[in-house]
Amino acid sequence: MATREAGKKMIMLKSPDGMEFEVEEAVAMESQTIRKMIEDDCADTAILIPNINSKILSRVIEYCNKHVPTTGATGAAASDTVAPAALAEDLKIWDAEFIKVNRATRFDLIQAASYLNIKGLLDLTSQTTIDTISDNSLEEIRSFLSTKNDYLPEEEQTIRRENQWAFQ
Amino acid sequence: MEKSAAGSAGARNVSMDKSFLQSNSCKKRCLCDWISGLPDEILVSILDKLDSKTAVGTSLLSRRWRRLWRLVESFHFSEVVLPDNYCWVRLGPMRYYLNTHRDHHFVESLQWFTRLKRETPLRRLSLVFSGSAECSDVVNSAIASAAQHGISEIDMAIVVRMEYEFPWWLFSVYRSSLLTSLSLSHFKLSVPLDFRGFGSLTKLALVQMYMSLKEVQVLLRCCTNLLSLHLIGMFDIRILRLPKLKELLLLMTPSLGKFKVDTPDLQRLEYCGEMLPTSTFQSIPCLEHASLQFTDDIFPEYDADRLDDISTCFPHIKSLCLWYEIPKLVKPRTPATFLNLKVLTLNIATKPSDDLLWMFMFLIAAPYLATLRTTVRYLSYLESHNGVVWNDVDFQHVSLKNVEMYNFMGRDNEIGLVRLLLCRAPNLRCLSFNQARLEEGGDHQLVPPTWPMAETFSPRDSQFVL
Repeated sequence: MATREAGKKMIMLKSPDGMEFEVEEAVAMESQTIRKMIEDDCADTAILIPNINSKILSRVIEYCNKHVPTTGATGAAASDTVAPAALAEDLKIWDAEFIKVNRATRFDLIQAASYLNIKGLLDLTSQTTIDTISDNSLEEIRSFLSTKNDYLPEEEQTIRRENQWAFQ
Repeated sequence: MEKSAAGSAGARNVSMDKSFLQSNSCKKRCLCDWISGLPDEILVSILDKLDSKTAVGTSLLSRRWRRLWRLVESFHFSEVVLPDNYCWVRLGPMRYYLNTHRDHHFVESLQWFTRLKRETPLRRLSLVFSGSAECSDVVNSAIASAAQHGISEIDMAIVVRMEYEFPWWLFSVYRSSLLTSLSLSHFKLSVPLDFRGFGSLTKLALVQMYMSLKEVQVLLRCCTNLLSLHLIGMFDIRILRLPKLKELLLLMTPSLGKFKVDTPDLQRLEYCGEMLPTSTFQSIPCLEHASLQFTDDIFPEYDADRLDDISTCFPHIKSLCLWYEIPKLVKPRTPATFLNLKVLTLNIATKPSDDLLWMFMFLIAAPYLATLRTTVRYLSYLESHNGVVWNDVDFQHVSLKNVEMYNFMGRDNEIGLVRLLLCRAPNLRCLSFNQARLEEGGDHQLVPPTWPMAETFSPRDSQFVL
């Protein structure tokens, strides 16, 4: 793709439902998966992101945009550069707002973060799951995660015996 | 990775691997068990953050989960069943709480941990326990086993018997080389003068440790590579001489004598306690962010002077977080002293009826400020100082671009402040109001309001959560 501003390479991301997102290369490279493709030179024009619909993809891009390290490209931006510590606090507040979404969206975001390999987004999105597992009984966790118990009763007994302390 | 030519347009599209497509269509078909489809690393990263009992407990969920816990690198054991999101810093003596919330399998779980054949490297071990003699032996064996496996982070808190002593002898020169982080709360640590075991430490946190002045100084002297130091509720620190230190957190750590901080690389400071004499800091040219909460508000009329003192202490500061009570008096002309300050976060305590225009004194003091965040708390017990009138001269603040007001209730005094900002800050681009308090970004979470009474917990999150 054409470079829009001097020194900033743009990358086109396509979702399977046909939407195209033009993002700065630095923003796209927040995703380790995309970074690898760019570095391996497989992405000179457009990258198709399978199975992440445009709604989720746009949110992921929103996240990456916010979290890309600021480099103070223009003079004005450089003078506004704030201390990293203050910036980190800013991001925390922003993250808390970002993650206020329904369960389905959050699951989609986990999968997208996992596939695109964006560590920060993954940590943020999986926190709810962590809370659920630590707060609930086995049955409740299973129903929340939609996991089926596929153990035979004997197998279950064996596992209970192996690490008895954890099940009391 | 598969490449495919995208026909006549000449554009080359890249499609990602097919297996992902398939796994996803499977998800669509049955809409079930989305989580088991995630790769091991993600599920393990979730287990890593759980306490070990829960993590091992997930092996009963389904076959997919059976062996996942074996890949975790962090182990958390607690003799006390703690509330969710408890704050590690607030842990302290809690005999009664322990009696009613004891996990009776603590010893058993540690024996299990000590015997465990590990398939993955060990990163972190965190322990909360009573400190009883019975537990101490198994704890020390567990730490010895962890040390042999090259543990890098240890967190420990004692909640009943503070006579427990950290087994520093397990970290003699050779074995300790991988230990990088140590967080200790409420017990003893007394290393001998010739001890050199903690040279690999980059992070040290001490919370109300039962240590003498000499013990602390000896300990700090052998931590030559520290990047981050947290001292919370420690008594009488005299000298901090740490050439590589980047982050310093001093909360409720009174100094009984002359206090010197010699940390030339310091970038971030959080302080809660009595006002420090301006001579405390030797030279801190790299300091970018400071959070300051002073607890000796006996003479609030000197608050404007205090601002001068802060600027004398931290002349190059770029980002500042301050706690302030409404002063009795604002000097008519506050000098512009914070010439590098770009971001200011203010936590103001005042009476609901009091005027807020005096807050302009901060803007005058920081002429190049770009972002201002305010949280105004209304405390009815405060004395009213409605006599404070901002001396409204022809002041314009041309740098201010963003104002974020938290805990905003639309009271008259808040509206008055907003109105004045709109008049006097011609380049203001963004003004936002939020009813929520500015909790997430606040370092003050680390300052327990009821410190040091840790008997009751407040389920508050912090960076210390185990």
